[in-house]
Formats: sequence, structure tokens, C-alpha cells
Amino acid sequence: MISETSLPSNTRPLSPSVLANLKKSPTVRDWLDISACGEVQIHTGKVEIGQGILHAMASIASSQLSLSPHQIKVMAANTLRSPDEAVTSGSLSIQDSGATLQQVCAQVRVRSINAFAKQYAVTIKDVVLEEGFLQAGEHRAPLVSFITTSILDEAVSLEPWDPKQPNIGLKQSDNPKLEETQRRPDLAQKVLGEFEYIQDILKPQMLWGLVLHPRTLKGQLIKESFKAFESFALQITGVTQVVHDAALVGVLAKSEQALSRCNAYLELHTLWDESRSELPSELQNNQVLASWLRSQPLQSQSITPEGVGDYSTARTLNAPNAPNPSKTQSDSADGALSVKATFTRPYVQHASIGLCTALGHWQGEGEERRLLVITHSQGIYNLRRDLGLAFGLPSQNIHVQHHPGAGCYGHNGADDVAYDAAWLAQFAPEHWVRVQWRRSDELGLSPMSPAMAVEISATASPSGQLLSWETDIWSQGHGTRPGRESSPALLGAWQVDQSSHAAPILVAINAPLQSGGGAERNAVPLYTIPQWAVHNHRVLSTPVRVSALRSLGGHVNVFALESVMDMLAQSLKMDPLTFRLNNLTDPRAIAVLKEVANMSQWSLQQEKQQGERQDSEGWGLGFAKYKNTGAYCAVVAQVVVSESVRVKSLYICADVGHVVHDDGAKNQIEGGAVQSMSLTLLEQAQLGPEGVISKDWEHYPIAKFGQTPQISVSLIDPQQSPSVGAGECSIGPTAAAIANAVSQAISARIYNMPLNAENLLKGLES
Amino acid sequence: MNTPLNFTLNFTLNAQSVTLSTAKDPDGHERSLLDLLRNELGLKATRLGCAQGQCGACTVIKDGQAILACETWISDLEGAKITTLEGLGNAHEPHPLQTAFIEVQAAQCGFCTSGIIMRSAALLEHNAKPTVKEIEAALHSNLCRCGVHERVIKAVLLASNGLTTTDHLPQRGTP
Repeated sequence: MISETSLPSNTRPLSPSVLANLKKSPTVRDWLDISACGEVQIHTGKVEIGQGILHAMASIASSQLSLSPHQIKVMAANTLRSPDEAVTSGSLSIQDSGATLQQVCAQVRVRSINAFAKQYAVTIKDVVLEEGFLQAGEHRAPLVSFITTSILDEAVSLEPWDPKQPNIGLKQSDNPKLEETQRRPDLAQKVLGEFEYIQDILKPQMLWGLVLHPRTLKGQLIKESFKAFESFALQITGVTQVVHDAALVGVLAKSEQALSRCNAYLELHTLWDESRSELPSELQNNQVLASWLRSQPLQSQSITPEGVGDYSTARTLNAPNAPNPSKTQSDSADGALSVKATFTRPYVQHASIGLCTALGHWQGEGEERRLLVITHSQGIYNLRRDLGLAFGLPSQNIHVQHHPGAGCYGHNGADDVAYDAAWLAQFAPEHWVRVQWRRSDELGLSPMSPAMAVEISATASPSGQLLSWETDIWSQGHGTRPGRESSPALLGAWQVDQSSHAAPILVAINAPLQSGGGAERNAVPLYTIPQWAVHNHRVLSTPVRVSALRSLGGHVNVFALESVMDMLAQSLKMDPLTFRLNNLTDPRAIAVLKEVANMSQWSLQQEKQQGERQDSEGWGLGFAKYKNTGAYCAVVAQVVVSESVRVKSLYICADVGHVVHDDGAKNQIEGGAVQSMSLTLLEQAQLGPEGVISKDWEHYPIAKFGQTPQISVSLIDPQQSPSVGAGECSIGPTAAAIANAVSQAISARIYNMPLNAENLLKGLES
Repeated sequence: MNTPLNFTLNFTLNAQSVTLSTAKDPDGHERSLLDLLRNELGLKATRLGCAQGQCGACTVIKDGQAILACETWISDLEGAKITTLEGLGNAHEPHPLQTAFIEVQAAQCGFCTSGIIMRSAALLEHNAKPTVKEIEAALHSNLCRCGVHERVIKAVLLASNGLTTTDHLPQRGTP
């Protein structure tokens, strides 16, 4: 649900997520502290994964405290000091952590102003806070000198701050769009080569580690192959140990070079028998994935206007039509038009440019035995919990420190490699052990985003009103993150002990719909429809490991939903924009659609397409409100189709509520759009009997320079609306806009992603 | 092992001369420039992304040409002039590309940025005013997953004085 907390106004009731944060971490000092040298330090449980969140947090604190963001230090999350805010995911950081921080900083400001007014015997409303200084008449003092221990130790108020004077002490002219506040300080460090990534950390006496996993979930170590590898590796100068526990193999060395030489051997020799994995042959052919998904054991649940409920009841209420191929029909007595179509997407991969890395270190003995881990995980407390389960250690004996890695777009291998480092470090007590996955591990072992099939039946009246909508989704769950089950959700923990006590391979689940759902994310149309139902069929088989990737099911669901909207508009001979506007009531949804139409000169382009049609060029529209509770986003794509699809331009309008960091939000929206374009046009995991085959960049190509479009982003900034995240809102609408533009360009609908030459040809043939 | 006792290898790195007594590892195997930079010389802005020559994260400049440090053997460096991101510029004297990347905020996670800047710097050495197409062609082998391609092109144009930030990019060609 939408957070009811507003930025920057402090007058709304606090949202449940902010209240939950303040229940767990109740005092000011849990969130804000003053260092020995008088620096304001912010503690957040959210982590930097390349999205610029720490700078956004600094911006929020700076606007409440009238400091420059550069005068505020946002500390990297760790389990000794930071509030527990679970996972940095789902575009929730601004609305949860940011809103909490705003409450904390508002309280600090008001309390400090009170103390200043008292000391100088001035009235509160005469106190002005400017560039970190409190001023009233001739009195002037640094804000920080008034943030006393008693203010820091106070509980954070659970009520909105002083509704009558929410902005006390703040100057109205404070402009968060000032150039200085727009620039992320970490980007300057990155551009100048000064930024330290987790991959760059070295510790004294550190050992370099390699942890080798089977390529499938049930691979078995071949003893003779291991022996041969062991004798090879131990001859390399610098290799100190070769170890294994069941299927998991580790190498410890004094140099990275020694590990590189092990890798050269491993590129030519496998250590595992993968035959037990019995990877279904259907998974090796993306053309039949959809029928495989439908044929699996399923757990079905339905969403209807009444809420989330039992599938069989909902299905009885909305009996599906007899199956028919993807087409539009006008067959009912009242002239209603119907569309029924199935859309698919294969498994896709995270494909970060950096490699998952972690450092582990064991200290002490017996009850004093402690594990230290440095990680780029999205959820340090959840990782700590699952490491505790895996190693039989109480949480208080494990310390997890976050350190940024390369871009993270969902549940990748960051948690798994943290387990690997901890596991391997057991063989070298008192040493730090650094483990980095190889490129083939990064692409071949990280959880993938599930393959999906989405079938939609929809009807509309001849006048262009939607009448009914029914969606069926087949997909594995979209979450196997740590911190949620009674056994560890860590790859290596499933492979070390293959007895009956071993940690079981976890079946992916979907988050509850009120948190945005998983496979069913964004499947419920935002359009006004008298009768609708969404049936989510969770595939219970786990032939390959899957979990969350940016926008989860939203990528496929919006692609499908907005394709059907265009199919209906086409059969109604209606402009796709007009058809959407006819069926929307939410003014913010209408506003982003109208603005994107304006930016792209939509009507003019459509007229051109109707008139002198430019061969192979198409324009398409896509829209969604992320998770149905987050940011509104409308996209217009211009494509040219020859053998393949070239996206020439993307016009994007989004409403993310009040904008905290204008350029940061735009950067996220642009990046999401490019990533979506890449997923939609190019990407498909390739699987074989021995696991993921697409484990290098040659076999898993992503969008390159020369394939990316011109992008224009416009943000509607409703000052009084709560801020929501921007990181994922452009994924679904971009996919849909491209699909609709391609359809216009080639006068045929492509139902199967990726929209590559092979699928285009198949679409044209049918 | 097959290195003669009096062996020395000399090259220039970021305008400083480097002398090595061996180019190989203790077992006589070749070592990459990437390993030397990151693990021996402490120059970590050059990044390991794939070690297979497929992503461009380790791009540096050798004698005016962009090369991949993961695929360059130390043995091949005799007399070479190598520049890494650290040698291109710094906070006091940034290279025009560094200034432009900051101005445009042409990064998100920044992991691919070092390689992209180095390849762009090599491009500008040979072609002071590249077109969008020439920039795209030069950067084709440098991967970016965060999707900041548009900003990167803007930054390179800005650094080559082909653009002010308020300008829009020129229309790109059809495929």
C-alpha cells in the first residue's frame, strides 16, 4: 500500500512501515548521531547497490537540517549499529527508510531550535536555520552544537511533527534541485578512480579463496575428478589448501594468480556428475517453456475485486472461454469485442558487470566463536540470520558489514558468496578469506528470474469501455531470499551436507500482494473494469533456482496487459491513448499518459502512421502504476524494425510523488528503461542438461552502445504526494511500449519475448 | 623459472617508470597486466569483470590504444606506455572526460565507468570531435548493465566540446 508519509510535509500520520521501523529502532540515535568531530552521521538499514540511495538519504536529512548533503555522512549498514530494515528492494527505500529519517531529522531540528531559543531567550518562530547555523537576531550558533545527548537519546515521536508549524526554522527558498545537491559524491569518486568497491578490499594476511559449486542443484562431486584437481592445484605455488564438503569444493591461496591458474584447469575439467539434476528437456527449448510451466504441479490463488482468495471459487465465478488462439473476436450478441492471448518470457539473468564477492573471518573458540562477514547483500540482517542457521551460530556471534559492489538488480549471488566466504574461512581460522565468483558463476549460479506465461481474456464494449478481464499466470515464485524460511536460503548450504539433515533446496515463493506480490505483480489492471480476476498459478517444481529480479513479474505482466489494451484498441479502431484514457479515473495516471503523449507528439505520430506510413517504423505506448501502489509511469517507444528491432527513442513520464533527488530519480528511470529494453529484445537464459549454458557474455548478450535509444524523462512533481521509489517503475511500461511499437511497425503481434529475429519471424508467419 | 637472473622489464605507467625483475609467476606462468595493476601496484580503478576479454571493465590505454588489461601479458609490456584511470586525472586536475562524467552524472554503480572512460579517452586522442555514431562504435565492446548509455554519450560529447549539457543529442541514424 502507499506509504501515507509525505515528504517534505511533516503533517501526515506516519505509515505502518515507518512505525515498524521506529518500534525496532526507537531512539533518535538509532538513526542520527554526531561523531566525535561534530559530523552528522545518518544510520540507515538500506544499502547502496548502485542506485544512489545513500545520497538520496543525505538529501532528505539535509533538507530537514538545512545542511549541505556533503556535510552529512550516511554510514554503510552493519549489524552492530544500523537499524534492521530487512531488504533493500521493491523501490521501498525512499518511502520506508527515507520517511523514517525525515521524521527523525524533523524532530532533531525542532528540539535543537527549542534549545537555541531557550538559551538566547528568543521566540521559536524568530529562529532561522541556514547552512547548518541557527540564527535569531545577532545570535548565531552551529546546529550541531545544539544536538545534545539528551536530544539524541530521546525516543522518536510516533506522531507527525508539530502539524501547525511543520517547517519551523526552514527557509521556504530551500531548493532541493540545486546543482550541488543533485550530484552524487560517490559518482565523483567512481569517475576519478577513488571509490573502493568490495572487490578492492584487502586485509592483512588475507587469503584468496575459490569456492566451486556444481552447475545444477543436485550435482554430485566425482571423487576421482576432485583428486585429480587437488593434485593439480597443490602444485601451484601459492595454493595452500584444497578442501571439499560433499559437493562443495574450495581452494585457498596466497595470490589471485594462483586461483586464476586453477580456473584455467577448471575450464577444461568438470568435477561433478550433473545427471541427478534431470533438468527437463523442455527447459532447453524456450519455444516450449510455456507448455512446460502449465504442466507442472501448481498452487493457484485468485485475486478479484473482493481481494485475494481461493482459486476454484474465483474460477467458477469467471468461467474461462473455450481455448482459442490469440486473436480478437466480435462474436457476442451485444457486439462486445474480445481478445484472448498468451504472452511468454524465458528465464532471464541478472548479468551485473561486477562479480559477487565477500570476505569472511572466524575468530575465537567455543561460545566466543565469532564470524565476521563483509558483503554487498541487499539484506544484512537476513543474511546474518541464515548464516546463523547454516553454521549453527547465534546471531549475536555474527557481524555482517555492508560494502558496495557493482550494480545489483535483485537477488543475485551476493548472499551465496557470503556463505562461500564464511564456509571456506573455516579452513583458515584467524585469516580473512576473500571469495569472488567467476563470470561463469555470476551468470550460471545466481538465481534467475523465472520464465513466465501470461494468458489474458478481455472484452470491451463497441464504445470502448472495458467490460471484463481475466488473467492467468504460470510461473515459479519470484523469491528465495534469505531471512524467511526455517532453513538457510544459501546455495552452498544446500550442497555441503547431502544427508537427510541437509538444508533443503527451497521452493521460490511470491510476496503477499499487499507488498506488491511476485509473479502477479502488476497483473491487476489499473483500468476501471466491472468484472475482473487474476489467477496466479505458482509452479512448484524447482529445476533451476529462481528469485527476484527488478520488477519481478511486473515486466511480463505489463508487457501482456498493455499489449492486450492495444489489441482491443486496434479492433475498436480507437487511438490506444484515447482507449486508455477512456478507462482510467485516477487523475495521476491520466496526467502521466497525457504528458508522455505531449512529449512524444503522440497524435502527430499516429496521424503519420495512419497516413504516409513510414515503412517498418512504429510508435507504441505502455503504462503502469508500479505494484499498483508505487510510481506512475508512461512510456512511448519509437522503433524501427528490419531484421531486428531498433529502439530509436523512449519518452518517459513518471510521477514518483514528491521528488527527493531529481537527477537521481531520472537516472534510475532511464536505466530501468534501458535494462527493460535489453530484457525485452535480447535476453534469454540458455539451459542444457548441465545447467545454465549462457554463462559468459557471448552467450548472454545484453544491450550495447549502438543499440540503446535516445531517452527523455519528465517527472511530474506533486509536492504534497508521498515520495515513492523510482528504481523499477519504468521496466514494465518500457517493455509494453516497445511491444506495441513493434506491432505497429510490422502489423503483427509478437507474444513471446525476447522480441528477437527468431520470434519476429515466427510472429509474422502466424 | 625460465626467466634469466639478470632479467628486467621496463615500462611507463601513468607517467612513472616501472621496472620489474620478473614478468611471470613463481612457476613461470604468464601474468596479466590486470593482476599486476590491482594486486601488486594497488591501482584498483581497473576492474575485473569477466577475465575473458568480453566486458571491457579492465580497459586501459597502451601506447595510445585502448586495450584489455585482463588479456595483456606483463611480458608484452617492454617499453610500453600504460595509462589507467588513476593516471588520466585526479580531483585536482581531472581529465575533461572525468569532469564531463561528473557533470552529466553518467554512471550509477560505476563499475564499468573506468573502462568506458579509458576507451573514450583513447577515442578522443585520435578523434577530437567524434560523432554519436563514432562514440557508439568505439564503446561497442564496453558493457554497462545499469543502462547509463545515453548519459555516457552525452558526457563524451561534452568532453569533446561537441555539446553543452542543455543541448539534446543529435538524432541517431536508423539501423
